[in-house]
Amino acid sequence: MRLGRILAHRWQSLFRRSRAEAELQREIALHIEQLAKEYRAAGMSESEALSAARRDFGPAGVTKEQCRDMRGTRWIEECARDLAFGFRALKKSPGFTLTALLSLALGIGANTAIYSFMDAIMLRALPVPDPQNLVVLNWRAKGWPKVAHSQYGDLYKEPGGVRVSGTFPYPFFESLGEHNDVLSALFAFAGADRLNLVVGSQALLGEGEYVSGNYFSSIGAPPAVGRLIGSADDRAGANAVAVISYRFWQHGFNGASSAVGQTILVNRTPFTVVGVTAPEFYGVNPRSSPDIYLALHSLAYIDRRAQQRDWFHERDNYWVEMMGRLRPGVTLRQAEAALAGRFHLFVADTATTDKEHAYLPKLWLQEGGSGIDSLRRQYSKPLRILAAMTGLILAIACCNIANLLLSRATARRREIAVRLSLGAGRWRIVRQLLTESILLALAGGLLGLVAAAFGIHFLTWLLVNGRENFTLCTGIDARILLFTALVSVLTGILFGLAPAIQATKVNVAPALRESRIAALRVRRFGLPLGLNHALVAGQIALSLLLVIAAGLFVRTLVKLHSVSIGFNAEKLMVFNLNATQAGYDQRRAAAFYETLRQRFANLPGVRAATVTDTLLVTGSSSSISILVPGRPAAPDQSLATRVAFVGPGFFETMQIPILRGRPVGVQDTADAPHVAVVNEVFAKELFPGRNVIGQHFAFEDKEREDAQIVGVARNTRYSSLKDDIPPVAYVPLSQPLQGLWMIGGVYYEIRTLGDPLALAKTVRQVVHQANPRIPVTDLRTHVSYIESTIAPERAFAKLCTCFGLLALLIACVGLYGMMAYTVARRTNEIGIRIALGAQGGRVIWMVQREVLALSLAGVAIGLSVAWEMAHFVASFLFGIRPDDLMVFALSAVILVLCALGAGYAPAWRASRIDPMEALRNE
Amino acid sequence: MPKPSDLLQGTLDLLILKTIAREPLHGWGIAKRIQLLSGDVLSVGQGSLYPALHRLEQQGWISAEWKDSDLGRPAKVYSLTRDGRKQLERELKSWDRLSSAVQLLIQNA
Repeated sequence: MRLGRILAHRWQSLFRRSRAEAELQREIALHIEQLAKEYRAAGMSESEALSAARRDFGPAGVTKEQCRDMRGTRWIEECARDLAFGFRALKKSPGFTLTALLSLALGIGANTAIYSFMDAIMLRALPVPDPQNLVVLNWRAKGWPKVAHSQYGDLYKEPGGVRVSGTFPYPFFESLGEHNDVLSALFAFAGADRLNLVVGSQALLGEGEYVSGNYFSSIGAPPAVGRLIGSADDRAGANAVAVISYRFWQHGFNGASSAVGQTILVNRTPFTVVGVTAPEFYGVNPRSSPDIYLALHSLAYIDRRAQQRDWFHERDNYWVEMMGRLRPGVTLRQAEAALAGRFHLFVADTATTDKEHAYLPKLWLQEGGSGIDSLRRQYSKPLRILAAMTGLILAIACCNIANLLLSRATARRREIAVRLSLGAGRWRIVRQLLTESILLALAGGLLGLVAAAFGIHFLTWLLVNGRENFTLCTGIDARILLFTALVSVLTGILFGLAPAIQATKVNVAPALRESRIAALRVRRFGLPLGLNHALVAGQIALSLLLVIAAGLFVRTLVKLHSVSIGFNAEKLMVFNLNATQAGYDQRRAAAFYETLRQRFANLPGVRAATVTDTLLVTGSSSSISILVPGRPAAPDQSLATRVAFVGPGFFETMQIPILRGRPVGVQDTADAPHVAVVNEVFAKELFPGRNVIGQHFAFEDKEREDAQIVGVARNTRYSSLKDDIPPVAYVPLSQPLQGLWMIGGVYYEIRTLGDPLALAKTVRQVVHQANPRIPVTDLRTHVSYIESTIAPERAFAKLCTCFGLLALLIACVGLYGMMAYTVARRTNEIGIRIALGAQGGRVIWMVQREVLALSLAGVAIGLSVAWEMAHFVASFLFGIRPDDLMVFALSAVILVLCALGAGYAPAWRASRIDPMEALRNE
Repeated sequence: MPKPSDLLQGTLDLLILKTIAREPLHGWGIAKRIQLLSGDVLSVGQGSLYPALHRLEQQGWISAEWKDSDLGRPAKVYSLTRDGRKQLERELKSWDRLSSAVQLLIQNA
């Protein structure tokens, strides 16, 4: 009630100010009139009475002002007035406003875009209750832990050969139990790769996740429809049930409620859909959201690997990931100590030989509030570097605007002196100037949001880099808006405060006495110690950092492009097929692949076709231990080689020359003697000084006879452009190793005569005719695969070049503005010098001398900072050192030249000053 | 501009609230009434009356309305709101406490 009245009253005073003012005036006039009436009644004349009444009332202006103060809306009114004044002031100098807005929009936009990614990848919590007590279990070992005879899921190499992973043997999960002393819940899951899903007559590929029976209940995710997987579903022999994601429900079932209860074929096995997850739930990995969740024990129905062996009892097979919830009051370290002890007992028990005891993995816990961190590992460092760069850009923009404001404030000295002398408080004027800069910054921030929207698209495109299942959701939401607003206001204060304080440090009397021209001559030029000089030098230093970064990344890219890959990647079309998922056994799949290969090879427009499990130089890699007769392995280290399983025609299609012997051909069938073609490095490292043709070697731990080396192929890069060439053995696809058989399907490589993708449709038709249940996926050119492996380097090179140019541009504008202003300020002095006989060249030098001094100072600061900082980007470089002298020198030269270029126009103008004109102005 | 001391300000508020508690009055009327009822002892300066009225209005204790008045033309007439009445009671209580305390001190000191 009272609040309503107060608000109504304030509303009136704010928005009906003229009415409130008139009423106040009338009220006071009435009072004075009554006083006058009394005086008249006491016998005074009309005019005497009135003036007596006025005297009696006292200063009406002051009373009114006090009444206005009582309204409590004064600060709002003042702000509104400041804003209006700010608008007018900005409108009066559109050039300044535009430059400032543009640089702010770019600076803030870049920061917002990067922040939205950092937010999504590093900061955002999982959309589940109490994410803060979630933990992720991982292990770390000083080298490859031999106790893990097989390991699936992500494995990270850290400096010093340290391996880190989050997968464990299932029996360990079981031994910990679903609850224990330190965790109130412990649940497990495992990625299922892409599954072939058939809904009705529609075949789709979907990301799958195997989850333990307590996964959903522990994580606290409610179903949107139906029920989720429970403990009863996750045991051997349980009914095959599936939970689908909200997204998959929408596009696979059109959101029909009848979806629950329906049957869905998962890699040809029927599963019953029992429920749908909530729309916001995306699993525990922000990188990819599963389309379908199956119980862990359903693995036996689907995965061939698990069918062959018993994954639920093997103590040396690391494949399940685990997360848990801390009990209240238990810290992460306490839980880690308790669990690590149990894991140590477990692994020590499984280790049998000395080799296995050598690198026992140690358990460690990690906070799991934002899920498992594969994305963070991959992108946090590049994002931090990008964030630092965009921060620098914003800093440069701030310096620039501060400098422009400073010049403007100096020009406004008289105005400010007038206002100070009329009784305005200094803080009041600082506030006015700050309002102006915050207004500018907010407008810049608004434009920055537009820039950010584009930036986010661009960045997503860079990060996705051709991957189909990239589901990281970013966009502009409330948090991003808040961030942008915060950055804008801070920016405004940052670049506005110093100039505002400087501007109000005016000695009023002399400033008022100054003529307009004299005001421009306050400080003698050539003393480069002012705030504006420092700002310009700072800008140059910051720009130099970005230009050097750009130089380093561009050179890295050039180096990468000049790497010789060893085969011809042009005109190669690549796609993936998976007959195993469609129910073929090993022998039938091999025959199927070979029939298709021959059909492709005979298509018109195709020069050659082959099939392989390994795409060269695309990041895929498999390594196998081998035994070489007459070469005993060192006790703690075994010999290893990379392998590629290849079909007939591989070397012809890839155009890899066979230096000796023969390539893999159609004669190398499953029943023929086992053979291998090796590369030069293999021959040189494993059979030094011998003729390798006809030699034998064996794959360790596999029940397989020796392979005879029948040919030596020329070296090619194997998994990455950056790595050294490893030893490689090319093994016929039809002679596979036990348990290592084309789980992910095979890749066809088709060498075409014309445009490689022109045959895409024909190829799909051929496959469809052969078996309509097998989808063709990942159809691309080989070149695009290789390009995407260096996408981060290219993205960095491009972004840094953009950033570097932007920084250079902003710094040049700043320098130009300052020099133009200095020249204008010195018109008289220069006029006199010219009148006294100074030549044009000398005047130009006089101005450029200052530019040179400033830019050299900036470059010196920038170089020393860059020298210290360069090692931060070392891991992103290839083929050059982070302190590459050429890049440093070139960048410095570019910067000085740009600075002199920016200074030339004002210098030239100075040399053209007409002495008569200049002197007459005095 | 120095603010009036708390005692003074509080007292003025009390006087105004009490004065218009009987019947709504305009500014002039309030000044006159205070002077009259206090036997010419208390005189409220216009300089503090109007800011006080505006403040009380701002706080929602009193409300104002333009009405025809005994002055022969419309005047801004202030009346007590329901919240204002409660405030008046509070002020009266605290005034009683204060004045009896002062009284006590004067008697016993």
